[in-house]
This record gives sequence, structure tokens and C-alpha cells, in this order.
Amino acid sequence: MYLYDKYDHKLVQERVEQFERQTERFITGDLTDEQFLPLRLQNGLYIQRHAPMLRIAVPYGMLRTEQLKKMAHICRSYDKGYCHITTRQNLQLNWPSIKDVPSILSELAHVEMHAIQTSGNCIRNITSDPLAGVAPDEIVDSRPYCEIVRQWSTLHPEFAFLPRKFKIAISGSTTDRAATAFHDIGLQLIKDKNGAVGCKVLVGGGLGRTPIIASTVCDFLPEQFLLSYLCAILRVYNRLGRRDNKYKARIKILVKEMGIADFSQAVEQEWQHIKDNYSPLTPKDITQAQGYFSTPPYQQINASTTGEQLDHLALKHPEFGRWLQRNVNHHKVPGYRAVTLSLKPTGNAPGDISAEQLETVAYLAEHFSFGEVRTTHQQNIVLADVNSNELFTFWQYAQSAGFATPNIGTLTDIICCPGGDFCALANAKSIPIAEKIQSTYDDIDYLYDLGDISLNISGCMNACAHHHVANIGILGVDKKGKEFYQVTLGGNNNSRGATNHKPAIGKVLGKAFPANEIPNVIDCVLTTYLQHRIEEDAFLESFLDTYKRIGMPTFKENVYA
Amino acid sequence: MPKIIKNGDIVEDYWNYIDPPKGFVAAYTEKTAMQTPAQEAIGAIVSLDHWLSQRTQLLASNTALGIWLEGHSDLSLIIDDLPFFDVIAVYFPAFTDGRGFSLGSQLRERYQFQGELRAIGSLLPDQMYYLHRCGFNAAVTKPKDLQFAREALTDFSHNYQEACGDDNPSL
Ligand code: HEM
Ligand code: SF4
Repeated sequence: MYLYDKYDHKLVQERVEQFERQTERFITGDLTDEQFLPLRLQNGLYIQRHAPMLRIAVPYGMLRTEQLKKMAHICRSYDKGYCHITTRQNLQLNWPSIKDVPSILSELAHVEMHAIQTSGNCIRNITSDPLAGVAPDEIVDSRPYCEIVRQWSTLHPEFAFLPRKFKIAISGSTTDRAATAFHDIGLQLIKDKNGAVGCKVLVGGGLGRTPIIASTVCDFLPEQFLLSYLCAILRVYNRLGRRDNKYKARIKILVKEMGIADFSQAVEQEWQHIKDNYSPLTPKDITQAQGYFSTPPYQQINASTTGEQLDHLALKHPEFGRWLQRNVNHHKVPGYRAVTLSLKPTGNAPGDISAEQLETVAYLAEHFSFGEVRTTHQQNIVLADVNSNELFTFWQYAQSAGFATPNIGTLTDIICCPGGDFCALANAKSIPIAEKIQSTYDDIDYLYDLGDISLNISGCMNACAHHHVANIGILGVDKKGKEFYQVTLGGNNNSRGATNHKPAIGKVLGKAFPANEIPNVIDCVLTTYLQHRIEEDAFLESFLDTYKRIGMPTFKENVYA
Repeated sequence: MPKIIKNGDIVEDYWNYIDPPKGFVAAYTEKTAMQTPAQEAIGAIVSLDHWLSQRTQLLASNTALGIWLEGHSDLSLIIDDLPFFDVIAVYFPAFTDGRGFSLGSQLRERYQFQGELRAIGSLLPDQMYYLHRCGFNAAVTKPKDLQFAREALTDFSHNYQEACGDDNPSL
């Protein structure tokens, strides 16, 4: 994993000092509220409904054990004993006090962490595939490119005061697990027919009030031009993006208003002028970046014998079998597996993790996965390098720590925003809805039978939980001061094994419902699916496929009957 | 006479403005006069409109020339005229309006502008480091912020990325 060099340490240190001076000037009145606001946001500090909120960067989701332990310590000492994993793979403290923020930042700096550019109108944390480097369907390991873009975008002098926030995601596998179609820029690493690495560049995706699937600006950008091309896109956006209305300021609106053809042309023109001014990424640069993510010392494992043993254990312990099926992924290296720890047991606010749990994760990572973990867009945690001979022991540990709910990719693996309980912008609460659904559907056999299905809940149209791209989306709306929920069907962010599907934005089922009707509505939707799905031998048609085949009207009739 | 940060020093500014940005005048004249007495002035920084309408007269006038632009100014209108300007001032109507960072970079990088590139308008001292890296070598801040702004030029000792102003002398 990437370790800081002396420059990173110095830069983070200098940034902490700069922010201390800014905070001091704010306190003495030298900086006004209005002036301090963007400065503190770019250092991750929000002010929320009950308290400030500090968002901590986890570059492309990777964390080491000492970072997990430090987070546990920080949660205990400065917060209420837990933190939150966001859908952009970051960590969030929901209850720190402002006066503690400098101490928190300085503690974080000891373990090479910070909160730079986690908020504000700048380039945010780069997100990626939690299975990068280990996925069997990987074309190119995205992590070195993530690190290159992370460095490039950190304190970039030209792009710190953009019209609006700017999010970049990078994936490198056939299945896109990084939701690249729903980012301001999505990079899909690919190889051309000669094996040269490059990327397909998507631009202008995003959700929020105006959900849009990204368009392609470049089908194959050779890797050496990555940074000058990003610079060209951002420069066009920075100069032309709207600044008169914050709801129209994202790059997606610019792309929509200009049209992708004109936008691409503007980028191309800018790029032709600048591409030779910037040093291209040399093979040496790329090899160096790859070196940060060197292969851990894997053991030689006889995959077929361990496979048999696992099958045997799965038969003997059905619960283990289910866990293997849902929470464990195949791995590039024979005999290894990538395991997802579920942070979605019933009764837990999705994505919340306590100090004790962080320590357990650290322990598990240390003993079973070379000391590293990855946070995921679905707000879970992946341990990417577990020896399959140790899976059963691992499972027992995970189970006693409450991480082994075998529900990854199922209905109860809900993505949920903080909603009305914490967020000042909310129209409605979201966590209680998630809890209600989790407790209604905690029959594992039923969940299994439903198979792959995603359900996301956002408390307002800012769409922090990406409800548009869930198979079932729930959105909090305000109707004359009362909390209502609108349901959408058929969304897909192409990230849950549904490789044969294109990214899609869900369609509205019909008029919104009060909270107490939601369980019934979800039940109708699921029953409709079960009634209509094709079942042939072992094949069960997925929710999304059934929806696409039978269409919205059938669901509508049942729900509003 | 107003003061300005130029090439890392706080110096007197001998340029006058013709048809300056309105917000700039309001902010700048807080205490100090913005204009230099005519006999001491080096030249005039004019608005784009003024340049477009008075181009012939200005060129004939024999004074040194500068122009001020805004984030949305259409550079294609003046690309061929760039050699006439000793100074290009980029106006920031609000410190959160970052268009000027890209405009400055474009002038240096895409159009090879070699003269003085100055940032004017509503700027925070905290932005000096970035301005310098985007090719600016001069900046006007509120008089009370000048000293601090100059110090902020050294906020960081290392950069991750290349930027067009890196070969510049200090701002
Ligand atoms: C409680 C405090 C929060 C507030 C006030 C807040 C506010 C917002 C707002 C205003 C937007 C829309 C911005 C735009 O479209 O330009 C947004 C987007 C987003 N937020 Fe939050 N948010 C909060 C918490 C979270 C949390 C906890 C997560 C992670 C679970 C999150 C993830 C996101 C994501 C992924 C988007 C982008 C959605 C898109 O693609 O358009 N937010 N947030
Ligand atoms: S979706 Fe709305 S309610 Fe939920 S966290 Fe985002 S802004 Fe708050």
C-alpha cells in the first residue's frame, strides 16, 4: 500500500499549520464566516444539524491496521465512540467539537491521514474498486493510477475554487465496481489491441437533483497523457461551468448544456495546446506507482484441495456456506479470497462502525490479510487477501464481532444516508426506514431467495445514498411539512455483478408514501418480482432482469391496487 | 499611491486603470487612492470593451498598455493583440470564483503571454501560493492583507504536480 514519502509528510504538516493559522484568524475576526467557510470545507470540516462533522480522506478506500487503530482511538477520545463509512469510501466523524479539530488532524497526521479536499468545491477523494489488485476480472490494477491522480489533484493550484465539487472514480475491471458512470469524471482503465494501457474517459455523470449517466469524451486515452487530459477537462469546466446557480454548477450541467460534441471539442482544443507542456507519465513513473502496491507475500496454496475443504465445511455449517456465497469473492491468486465484512446487521445504521469494531477489523487484517483493508462504496469493509485455509477461523472471528451477516449484495445491504436524524438538508429520516426494512427482512433464506438486489435510501434529492441507481430506490420528500417517500425501480450502477446491465437511473413508481406504508410497498414490489421471475433449475432471474422484462406497469398495478 | 505585490516584494504601483471593474474600485478605495497621479503613471490598464472600441487611439497614444479581463472574457478577441500589453490583470469578483486561476494558466501556457500577469479583485492572502503557481507574478490585495499575503507565498515547500507558473520568479 502507498506509504508517505518525506514530501507527503511535509505537505500534510504544512497544510495543518496553514489551517491552524486560518482558524486563528477566523477566531480573531480577521476572516469572516463567509471567507472561512470554503477554507474549512477544503479541510473536511462541515457544520451540521447537531455538531460539526469531520470527513477524513481514505484515498481509494485503503487503510492499514495502525490507521484503523488510530481511528478507534479518535472515535473514543473525541467522538461518541463510533464513526461512519461514506459511499465515497471516506470516514466521517459526526460529533467532534470544533476546538478538538486541530488535535484530531494532528493525530491523524501521525498515521498519514488527513481531511484535505474531502469537502468544498475542489477535486475530492479519488474512489475506486474495493477489489482492485485482486479481482479475477481485472484488466489493469487501478490503484497506481488512483495514487497518481491523488497526488496530482492534491492542492492543485488551478482547481481549488471550482464552480462545484468534483469527484473522480477509477476502475480497471470488466465489472465496474466504482460507479464510474456516476462521477464528474470516470476513468475505466483498459488495454488496446497491442496491450498498451489507457483509459476510456467518461464525463458529466452524477445524481442529485439532476441524475445523469456520464458521456464518453475519449474512447482510449493513452496512459501517458492522463494528467494533461484531466487538466484540459477541468480547465474547460473551471472557465465555463455555471457559477450563477449552485444547482446548475456541476460539470454534468455544462456537458448537457454544451452537448457532448462541443464539450469534447473544447477539451480537445485545450488539450492539444497543453499536452506537450506537461511531462507525460513515463513507464518509470507508472512502474514507481505500481511499486507502492507490491504483491503481498502470498503462500502457495493447492486451490483444489482447499476448495474441497471449503465445500465440505459449507455443507456442515450452512451458515458458513451462505457467508462464503455472499460475502466472499474470488481472487486472482489461487487459494486466496477477498472477504467483505458486513456493516449492515439488523439494527445498525448502515456504514456506522464502533471503536471496538475498528480494532477488531485491525486485528483481523493483521492476522489474516497482510494488515490492509478497503472501505467500499456500499459502506462495508473488504479484507482483500485472505488465505482460504483460514477462512473458517476467520469467519468465526468475524461472526463473534458481528461482521458476518451474510447479506452482501442482498436486500438488507442497504446504502443509506444520515437523513433527518443528522442532516440539516433532509426532507425525511432515512435510517429508521433502513432499520425497519432490515428487521422485516432478516430471514436469511428469504433474502437468499431474492438474490442480488440493491436498495438505497436518501433523505432528500441530494442523493447522498445514490437511490437513483439502486434496483429499489427510496427518496425522502417533503409534502406540506410531512415526511413522505418516493420509490423508484430499475436503477443500476453496474457495480453488483450485474455485468450484462448498463448503468441506469431508476424510474418513479408513482405517488409518494408515508413512512408506515413503506414496508408494505416494498413487500408488494418483492412479491411481484417473485411471482413473475423466471425460474429454471438452478437459474433464478434477478430482480433487475425481471423488472426489465415485465416493466413498471405490472409493479405499479400491484402496489397501488 | 497604491501598493502591490510584485515578484515577491511589496512595491508601489505605477499603473492606472481606465474603466476598472466596479467591485474592484469599491474594495480598493477603502482607504488608499487607487489612481497614481498622471505624471507618475507608467501606463493604463484598460477594460476589454475600452480596448475593443478605442484600439486605434490607444495604440497611437504612445503610453504603455495593459488590459483587465474577467473569468468569462473571450480570449479569442484579443489573442493577436497580446504583444501590445505589458500587463494583463485578471479580475476575481469573489475569492471563491476560481475562473481566474484557469484564465491565468491559459494565458501563460496556451498563449505564451510573457508580460506581467496580475490578480486583482477579491482575493484572500491564502490564495497567493496558488496564484503564483498559475503564472501570476503580481497581485493586489486589500492594503491590510499585503504583508500577510506576501508571507503566504511560502505556505508550502513542495508540490505534487506540475503547473505553468513553476518557472516564474516569485509572485
Ligand atoms: C449529513 C451531512 C451531509 C450533507 C449536508 C450532505 C450534503 C450533500 C449535498 C448538498 C449533495 C449534493 C451536491 C451536489 O449535487 O452538487 C451531496 C451529494 C453527495 N453526498 Fe452528501 N451530505 C451529507 C452526508 C453524506 C454522507 C454521510 C454520505 C455518504 C454516505 C454522502 C455522500 C454523498 C454522495 C456520494 C454525493 C454525490 C451524489 C451524486 O452523485 O450527485 N453525503 N451531499
Ligand atoms: S441525501 Fe439529503 S438528507 Fe441524506 S445526507 Fe444527503 S443531503 Fe442529507
